[in-house]
Amino acid sequence: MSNSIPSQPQSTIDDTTHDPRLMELIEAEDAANGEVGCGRDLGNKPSVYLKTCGINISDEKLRNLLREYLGHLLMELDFDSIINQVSHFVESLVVQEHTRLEHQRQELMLLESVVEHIPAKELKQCIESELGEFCSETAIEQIVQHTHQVIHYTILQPRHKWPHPIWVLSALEKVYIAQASSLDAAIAQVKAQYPHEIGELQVIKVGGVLAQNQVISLDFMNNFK
Amino acid sequence: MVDAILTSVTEKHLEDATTLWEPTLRGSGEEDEYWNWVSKSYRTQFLPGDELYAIECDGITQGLMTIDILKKRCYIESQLRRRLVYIRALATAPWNRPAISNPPTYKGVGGTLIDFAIARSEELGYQGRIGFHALPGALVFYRKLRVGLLDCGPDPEEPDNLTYFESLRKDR
Repeated sequence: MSNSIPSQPQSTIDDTTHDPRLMELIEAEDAANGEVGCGRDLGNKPSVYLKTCGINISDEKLRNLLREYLGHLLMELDFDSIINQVSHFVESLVVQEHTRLEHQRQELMLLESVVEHIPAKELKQCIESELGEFCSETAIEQIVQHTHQVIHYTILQPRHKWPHPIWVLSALEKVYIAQASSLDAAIAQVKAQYPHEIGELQVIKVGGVLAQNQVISLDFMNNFK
Repeated sequence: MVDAILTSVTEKHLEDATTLWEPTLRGSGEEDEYWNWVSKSYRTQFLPGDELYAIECDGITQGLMTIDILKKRCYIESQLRRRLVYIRALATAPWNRPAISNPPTYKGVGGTLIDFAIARSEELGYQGRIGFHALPGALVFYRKLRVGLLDCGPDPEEPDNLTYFESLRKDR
């Protein structure tokens, strides 16, 4: 028989049935067969990754450079996205550098138009100042090129200009899909167009938050129970 | 029901993870099979805003979680770029998972850590907003937790395309 950890440590309640929140947690945990983990899957080089994960570009330095040269085109949330992608790339590259394993490197296009927006020399200096100690000249060059590529895609499709997200809402008997800036606006749209719907609407999923043209997948077994 | 302590991580918790968790997880095929909590702890010492917590019961570490309270922002449009508590990693001890030990020794460890992350977010003035990338096996768990978590689908900016969850809060 299993014991339960109370949601409020040091609780004196001695019966799980007296703690509905704990029962909810256990019910959710049981539904997932006890699997509750979240976080990065570290692939097949976890130990090296963990040794090197502290080596990366500083958020503020790259952000300042982006602000200086692209502030008129992009917004902070676009910079978040660029920095995230570059950081992930640096992480993977540092692991590769560290292990010196043979790998098939992705073809990175040199996008000349991007260079007009942020000087390659300054970008390289920014990256080199922090990673020069850990990465070869080739790796630094790859990071610079990858950053150019990420910036280029972001300029083409800036996050702040994406269409509103798609909300999937369920009522008692129907599922509604609405495009709106917020959940409240989505619910208002449904109520306006389907006034007969008087039941409570619950949000199942939201699409278009993490990427444009994101396909929304719904699991019949779990989403509609 | 048993009493447990939720506390900042100490050497003892990391030692438990190394000596008790890791040998059981090796070869188990669990998604966190290769996680190294000592290294995660090392990282929290250098990265501003990273915090590491443990749940302890019977003198043994039952769950671990590392959160970032500074560097991550919300993705959902209605709360875009607001601060949140980002859960970098969360795991329960192997003996609390039915796949390894059936019945598990303790239930409710993961949910309690999530509740704590929400409480920490409240405490910081982030209105209880949290975000994280769920491991594939845990998707059902997070979809069933009634804490206002929104399933935002697989994150293309995340190297493993893990599914991103974020809690939706209205301004107060």
